[in-house]
Amino acid sequence: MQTHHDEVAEAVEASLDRERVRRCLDGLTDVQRESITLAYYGGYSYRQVAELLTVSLGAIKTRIRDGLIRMRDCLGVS
Amino acid sequence: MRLLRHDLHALSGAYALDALDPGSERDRFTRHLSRCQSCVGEVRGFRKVATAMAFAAAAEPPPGLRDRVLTAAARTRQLPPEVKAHARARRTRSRVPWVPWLSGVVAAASIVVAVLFGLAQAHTQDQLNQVRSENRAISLLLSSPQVTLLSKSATTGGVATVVLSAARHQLAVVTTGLPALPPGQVYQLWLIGKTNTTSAGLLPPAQAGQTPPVLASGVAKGDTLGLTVEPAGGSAQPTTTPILALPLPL
Repeated sequence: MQTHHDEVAEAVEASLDRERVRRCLDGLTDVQRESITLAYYGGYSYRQVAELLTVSLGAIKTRIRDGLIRMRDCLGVS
Repeated sequence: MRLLRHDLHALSGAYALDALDPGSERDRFTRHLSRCQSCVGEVRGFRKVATAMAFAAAAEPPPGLRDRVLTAAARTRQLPPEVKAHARARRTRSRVPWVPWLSGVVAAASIVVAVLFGLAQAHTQDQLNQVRSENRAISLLLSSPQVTLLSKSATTGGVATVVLSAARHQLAVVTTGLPALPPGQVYQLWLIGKTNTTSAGLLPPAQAGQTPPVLASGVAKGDTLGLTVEPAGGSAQPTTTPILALPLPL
C-alpha cells in the first residue's frame, strides 16, 4: 500500500505544481505569455517568433527575458 | 550582424528556452556565458522555470492510446527509402536561403506531428482510412513546389500557420495556443470570397495546444481565410466576428 500512497502523493504534488505554473503564466502580460509559449511549447526560435508576431527581434528578446524573470519570481526559483 | 554586449546579455531568456538559432548566435552567447557570471546565474534560474513548465505541460496519455498506435503501426506499411529524393534535397538545400527553409521545415514538422496525433486518435478502420487519405492529400500539398507559408495571430491569442499551394488551390492550417473553448463551441474556418463565404472545416480538438491540420480545397483568387467561434457542429455561414482574417496571396 505504501507504493500506492506515494503515487497518490506524487500525483497530488504534480497537479499542485501544474496549477502553480499555470497561475504564474496567467500573471504574465499577454505579449510575454505569447512569446514564451511560442518559443518554448511551440518550439520556434526567437527569430521565428519575431516573424510570426511581426515585431522586432529586440522586442521578442526582451519579452522572453522579462517574462522568464517574472515566472522565476512567481515560482520562487532561486 | 554584430551584436552589442548589452544586446547579447538580453538573449539569456531565448538561450535558456533553447530558442536561439543553432550556429554563430548560440555559439556567441555560449562564449559570452564563460565571461559573464551574472548571465550564468540568470540562465540557471530560467532553466529551472523551463523545467517547471515542461512538467506542467506533461500529461498522462489517454487510456488506450498505446494500443491504438500499435494497432495502426501494425496495419501501416513501411515507406520504402527515398534515397534519390533525399540526395536531391540535400543539394538544393545549400543554395536556398536558410531562414525560409527552416521555418518551412518547422511548419512541416509540426504538421507531421499533428498528423501522427490524428492517426493515434482514430478509433475505427473507417476513421483510420479517412485520416490516411487526408494525410496523403496533406503530404501531396506539402511536397508540391512553391508552397507559401503564412501565419497570423488570432485576436484572442494563438497563431494559425497556413501552408498554401496556389497551383493546387489548397491550403493546410495548423494552430498553436488558441484559447480552449467552452463545451458546445467549436472553431470553424472559412474561405471568404468576394461574393460568397464557404466553410473550410472545423478545427479538431487541440493536442497539447496544437490543432491537427485541416485541409481546405477550392481556394479561389481573392479569398481570405477566416476563423470564427461557432456552436458545436459548425454553422452554414459565420455567426460571429472572425477572430482571424488572413488574405491569401493567390
